[in-house]
Amino acid sequence: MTGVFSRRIEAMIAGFIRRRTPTRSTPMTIGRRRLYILPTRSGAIFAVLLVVMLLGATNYSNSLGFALTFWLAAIALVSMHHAHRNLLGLVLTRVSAAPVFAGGHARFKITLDNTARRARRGVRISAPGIEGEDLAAVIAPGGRVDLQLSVPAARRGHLACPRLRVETIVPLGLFRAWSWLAPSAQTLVYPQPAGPRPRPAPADDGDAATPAPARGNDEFLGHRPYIRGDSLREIDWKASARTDGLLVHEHTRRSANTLWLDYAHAGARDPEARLSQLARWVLDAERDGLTYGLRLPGTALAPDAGRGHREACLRALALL
Amino acid sequence: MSRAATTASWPPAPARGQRLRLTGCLALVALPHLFHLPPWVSAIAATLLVWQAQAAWRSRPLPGRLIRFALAAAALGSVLAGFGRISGQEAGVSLLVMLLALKLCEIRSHRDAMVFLSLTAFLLITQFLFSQSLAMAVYLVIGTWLITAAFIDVSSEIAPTGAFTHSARLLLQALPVAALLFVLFPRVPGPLWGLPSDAGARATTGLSERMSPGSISSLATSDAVALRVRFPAGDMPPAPARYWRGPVFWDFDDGTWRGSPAADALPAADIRPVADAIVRADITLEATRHPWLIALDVPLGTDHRSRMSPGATLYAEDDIDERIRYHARSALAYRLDPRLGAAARERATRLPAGGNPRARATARRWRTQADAPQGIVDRALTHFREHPFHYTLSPARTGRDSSIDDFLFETREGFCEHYAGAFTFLMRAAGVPARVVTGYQGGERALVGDYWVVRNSDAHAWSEVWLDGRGWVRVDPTAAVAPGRIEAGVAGSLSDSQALPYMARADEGAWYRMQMLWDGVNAAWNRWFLAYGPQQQQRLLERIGLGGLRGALVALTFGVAVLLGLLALWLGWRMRQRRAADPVTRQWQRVCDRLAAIGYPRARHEGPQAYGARVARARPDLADELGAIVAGYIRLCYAANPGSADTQAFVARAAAFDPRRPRKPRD
Repeated sequence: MTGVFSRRIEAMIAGFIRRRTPTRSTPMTIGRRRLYILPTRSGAIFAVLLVVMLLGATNYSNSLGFALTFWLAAIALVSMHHAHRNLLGLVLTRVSAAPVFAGGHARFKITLDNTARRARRGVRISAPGIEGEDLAAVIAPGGRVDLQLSVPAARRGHLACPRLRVETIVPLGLFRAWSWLAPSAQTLVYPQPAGPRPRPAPADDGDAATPAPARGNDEFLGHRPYIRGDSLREIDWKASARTDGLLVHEHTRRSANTLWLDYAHAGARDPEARLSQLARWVLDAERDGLTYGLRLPGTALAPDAGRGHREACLRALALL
Repeated sequence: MSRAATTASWPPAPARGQRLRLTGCLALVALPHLFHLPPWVSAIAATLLVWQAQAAWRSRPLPGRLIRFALAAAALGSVLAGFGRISGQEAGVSLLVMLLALKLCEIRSHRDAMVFLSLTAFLLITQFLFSQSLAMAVYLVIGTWLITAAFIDVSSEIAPTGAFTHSARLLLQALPVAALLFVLFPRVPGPLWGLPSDAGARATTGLSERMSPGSISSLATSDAVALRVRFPAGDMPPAPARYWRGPVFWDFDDGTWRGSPAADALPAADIRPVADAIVRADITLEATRHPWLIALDVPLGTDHRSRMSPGATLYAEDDIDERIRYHARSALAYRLDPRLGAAARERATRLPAGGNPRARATARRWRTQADAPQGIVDRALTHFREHPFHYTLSPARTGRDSSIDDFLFETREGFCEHYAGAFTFLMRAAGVPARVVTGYQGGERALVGDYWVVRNSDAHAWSEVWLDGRGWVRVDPTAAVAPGRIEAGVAGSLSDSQALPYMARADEGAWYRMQMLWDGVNAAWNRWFLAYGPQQQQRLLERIGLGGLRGALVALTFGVAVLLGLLALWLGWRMRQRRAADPVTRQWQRVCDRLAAIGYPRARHEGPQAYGARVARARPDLADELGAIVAGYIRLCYAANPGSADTQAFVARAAAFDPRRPRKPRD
């Protein structure tokens, strides 16, 4: 429970710190202004013992006793400086996390860069209210580490990276230096795939006997931006050259067994439960290699297949 | 459930290697205590340490609460039985050593290790109560290095060798701050609460409160320094005047000379110094465990608080339990008690009713032959000179009731206490007031530094007789037998100088010079470091022009201390309130602690579920209970609004969880 001592004070000055810790985009550097330091509980015990030693040395007029007491006190003071320096100038380069399903944990990958010429040790990352932590035992001079923080993803939608506490008790454990970082990074939480309803059967809008045709047979509709997971062969390089991003041919599929996943037919009255049901269906349809479209209130995704399509669907479900 | 861990487990509890190194650290720091603690304490501490080292080596779990309690009680009991108390220097340190060795058995968390190391630092400081020699200063450096490295080892995620280099760097960086604190931190004169009766270095030999045959010759075999003297103006007086006055003995009984309360009740000595014979000396006196202050004969006064005794010895208010420095004035030419009161005369001529008939008869004969007391004195000295008396460290034994007769007429071998005692006896038997004075005679110039050294081997005893019109007059019968004793020291006068310690011998070999050099270093150490206290600090501040700053320094230090104390109190109070707020986390942590105690510590990144599953696989008998606890914990942590009933159920279940309790094997 070392550190509880100083953690209490944090709470006291929480408002003050929040004001000083604006949410910012990475990279961000730990500067003097938002680097705090206080004795740990062990440090407080050590200080009490130093006082006792001082009284003892005075009582016995013991010069070596004075020397030891003052030296230990000086060492503790120097260690405070070391703890401070251990975090000062540390750079939070990037924070990112892959989308997760609600009920799981978003794993925020936190990249720390040590631009100093000294190694940094025992740098710990945690977030208040979140049961997770990670520790960089050592960051070499000029080196980089990736730490992970698992944040429970309770609800679908955007999940912002929590306010991060970067702290250290190196070298002696008598002082704890810490800083608050509020990176603006966020990730997406898909609805939890769940629901009792079986996946609806593909609607037969043509010749049911015909197997799924090759994509080349599709009718060209236009271009849409590239989504991760799209086949490279679908990229229209000529069109892409005229714009900033990559463009992909979009086709209608004259698929025989197109599956429409419809919000209106997802059962339960509770909208969240419906979204969960839809997420379940999306995953199942993708697993079964089907072409599927998604109909949501106010929006629809044309039938398609592939990782990119699956993620687009889940994204739409997350953000509805 | 992915990896997750409670923040409470950080920093991690010491691992096996760290436990081993903590054990080693304690063993090394406690080592010098071997030399002054009773062997049984050292034996118990060593046994505990070996046991703990073995347990750490084999990664055995820590012993249970019952065993720890029993061992602590046994340690307390053994100290009580051995010392009869648990306070006092030796008993306290013995207890501390044993309890620290026991504390090793309950290092379960990082904070335990930190508390253990803080206490080890405290153990280090107790060494200096026993000795403050230069060797101990070296030990201070080693101990501080070890302890700092151990702090780094448990807190810094660094290899042990790295901990050593890192701690060396810290020590060096801290040195200037430490030096500043040492010099400028306001010193308050001690003692604050009184010293235990066994304070100070043990086995201090020196002058004692009584003199019997052998008591001074036993000192002659000790090289130890008794006092060091500087003469701020002038120089050491010539050899015949180098008498350093110590306790004076008035009463003789059973072959022993001693002081007495009755003698102390006599009026204080009346000293009339001759104006131009006053010598000033700065004296550094080693701890004597007695209250007298040694000074050149005859002392007039010191800047240390003291009183003049009837025997013209200076007494401090308390025993000298540590090395002290004082400025003493002495008169080399003087009249001491020109008028002798009736009580003093009676006491100075008193002899026991019987014993030593030959000596008494001889004295009576001298008295009838001589026309004045001075004649009796001369007659006695002639007796010593003309008969074959030997000055020796190892005289033949004499009977207790006839020690004077045996010495004067049979063995004729003795050291200064024999001569002084027999002479004083003869004078009293002849009706001349006389008393025994003990102290030192001689002293040698230090090779390095402008000062003189007086050693225990310079201890001496002589007589004083009271003569009408002259007062107390020093008579040194040893000088009659061995004149060289006064001119050249013990070594020049003994017939068997091999029995003397090296430093008291007269030949100046290379070894002797080295020893004297070493003494010079020690003297500088004493003068500049060990004696640094409130007075020296004030003097130093005045010298650098900051004399008026001391008051400000004291006020500032006191103010900051009070502020910090109040802040700490406030934080502690707030912390207590906060801690009560989250019983769930606390109970979960206790469950983890209990599992760690039976050998299943939680890995850093292990979430509650993964941890519970791992323990359940290893200990299927715990699976049900643990599963319920983990499930409850997760529900309470992640539910939006956990009900208070859930919380209560979890707390009750977790509090009742005891993995040590035997369980029925699952079928």
